[in-house]
Amino acid sequence: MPYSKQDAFRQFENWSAGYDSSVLQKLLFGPSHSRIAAELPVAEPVQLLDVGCGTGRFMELVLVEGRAAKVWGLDISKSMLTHGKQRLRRYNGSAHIVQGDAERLPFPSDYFDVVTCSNCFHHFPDQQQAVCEMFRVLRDGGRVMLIDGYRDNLWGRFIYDFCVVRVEGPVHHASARRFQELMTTAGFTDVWQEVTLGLAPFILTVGTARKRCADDLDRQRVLSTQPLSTPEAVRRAA
Amino acid sequence: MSAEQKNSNQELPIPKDLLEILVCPMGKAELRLEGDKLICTRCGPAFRIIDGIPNMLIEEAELPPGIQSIEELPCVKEGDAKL
Repeated sequence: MPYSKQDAFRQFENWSAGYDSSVLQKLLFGPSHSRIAAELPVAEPVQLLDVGCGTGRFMELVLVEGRAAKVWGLDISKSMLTHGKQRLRRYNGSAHIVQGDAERLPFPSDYFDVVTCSNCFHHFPDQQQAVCEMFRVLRDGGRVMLIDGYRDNLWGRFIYDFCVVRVEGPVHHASARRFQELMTTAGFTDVWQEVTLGLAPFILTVGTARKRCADDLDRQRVLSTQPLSTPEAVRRAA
Repeated sequence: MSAEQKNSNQELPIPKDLLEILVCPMGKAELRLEGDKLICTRCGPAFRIIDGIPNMLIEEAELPPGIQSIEELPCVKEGDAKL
């Protein structure tokens, strides 16, 4: 059976008690959070949405480092968020958490400067829909930063496609190429990636939401007999 | 959110700025606060606020009278929300 949201909900509810003391915090989650945080300029505090925020560790990191003015966190698991609420209590007014679905974000369009998502993307059954939602809630020029396990070499496939699947069920770690496809299909431009190797290798994918380009494209579709349809065409039209 | 609700911040079950940006996860319509529930102003599902955390999962929302399933929500039937 394919992996479902109910599976994700059940797993994260079960994991919440030991999540913060898991060895994965040191091996994978901590390094991933530091890598994303390093992409956020200190001088420009932003409105940031962390999709799959879990117990709020990344939200706390960016607030402590002054890399976000306000952080919003969304997670499917109430138990994870309950831990997060305790952690973020001291940042009253700067951090808000919501229980929700990454594929149906309960936020308005064109609102956030940055959307982040670290190490939970493989739990999303409809990954394209999740990326499209991230695009929708970003303002023009806003950036998405996705990190998940890197499975494009032998070690990565063993860790993520064999070991993790045995523990978590049929989750899906996207390949680097698949991440690019998901991003460009959603409308992101200037997509770039970076791999960090190690015991738990991970890949960072960053994209920019150029919404004015999309508007231009829509106008051009109306005016032209040959509609543009590829991301490259969007860039050319801009 | 009504002016009356804006003026009673002390009694809000969630912070005002969170209340102001949340929308329905389905059709993205605005919400109105009724007690400890956020009600979609378009189709009517009610999202509970539990321990100060809004639960915006449509699968756990209370559907309005006469609506038996998510598929029957007007925003879904009219093609404005994806299942």
